[in-house]
Amino acid sequence: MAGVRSWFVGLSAALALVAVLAGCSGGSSGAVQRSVARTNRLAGLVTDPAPDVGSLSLPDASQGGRDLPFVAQPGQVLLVYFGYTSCPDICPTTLADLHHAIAGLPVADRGRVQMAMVTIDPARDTPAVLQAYLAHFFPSGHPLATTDQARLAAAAAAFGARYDVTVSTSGEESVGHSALVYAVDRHGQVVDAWPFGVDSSVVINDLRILLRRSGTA
Amino acid sequence: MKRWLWWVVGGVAVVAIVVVVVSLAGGSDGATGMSVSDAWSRSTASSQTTAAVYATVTNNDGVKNALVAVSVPSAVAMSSQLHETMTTPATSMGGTSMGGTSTTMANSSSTTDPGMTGMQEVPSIPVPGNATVKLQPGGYHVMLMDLAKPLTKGERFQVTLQFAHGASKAVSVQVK
Repeated sequence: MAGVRSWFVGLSAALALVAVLAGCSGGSSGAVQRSVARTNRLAGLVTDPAPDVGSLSLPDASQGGRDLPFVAQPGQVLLVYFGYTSCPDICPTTLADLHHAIAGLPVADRGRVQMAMVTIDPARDTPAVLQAYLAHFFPSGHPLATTDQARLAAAAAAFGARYDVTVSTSGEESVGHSALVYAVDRHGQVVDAWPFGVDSSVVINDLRILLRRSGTA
Repeated sequence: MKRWLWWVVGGVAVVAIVVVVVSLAGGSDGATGMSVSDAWSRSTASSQTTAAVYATVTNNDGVKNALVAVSVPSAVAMSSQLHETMTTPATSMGGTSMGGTSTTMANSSSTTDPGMTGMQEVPSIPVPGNATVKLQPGGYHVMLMDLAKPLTKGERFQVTLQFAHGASKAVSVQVK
């Protein structure tokens, strides 16, 4: 029976090849045009009214622990992510995807996107650990770490971010968190957010819109 | 008939013969019936203690199988676990949430709260008969714990995948 199946495989492959060749000889009609529609509408998660986070700040490990307010510099956009460094899957994927999206912006605009990562696991993520982690993806990023749980909770709540760090009796830690990247404008408002797995074309288009709105430095 | 068409027909015949011969020869590779491809890991930061391995696992048999364990050299990591990343709805976990506001995806009419994302260890990753399961970001993955050293882009390391049925498979993982 295996032989019969193999013949079918061979026959199918031959037919498929004929189909491909036929398609090729048909000229350019088979070419698929792919383009990302550029719109002036944000395609991420937009909360109305926009959460106000500008009055809050967290210690920035890259600035010797000086507080970084959640406000973008004029002409810039501040992206904020709540995560933790021992997260093997979602966090590095999100940061790598973001890096990829920002690299898709015109060169002059890349430096106008600031990245901040808040650790939701300050017990394990010391400022130094977090800084080394974030620098792997964003060398000039802002690693934000505080062991003041009330302060961390207040910051997360202002963004609408949720997290849950549970340590089992065996010492194993389980962490859940909102896997969103938030965009903050110069007024300290969360104007956009992207969920995990969002297509980079969405992020690029949204960043273009947000940078246009942010004016010049 | 145009001459180029004869070339096409000849080419198709040759390819068909090659395919049949290869499939006949490979037909006895039924020790486990599992094949693994595109195994990769993301490069890690110096302070990172964990990483994930992703791969495409194909079950060439009609009988269901499962990935039950992955062994990793101690020069790479101390241990590994099979994990699944899941997103739980907003209401099922505690934590802070916003009141009096609505969050909507601009292109969608429904109210969206993406909920919380977390990982959980799973005892096995099922691979149904004649099916392919992708270990990929945001889903199933092999979590490497206590990395011996950072994973550097361009390097490769070996892991061994153990299945519920059949022989285990040594796989080379590409660090990207």
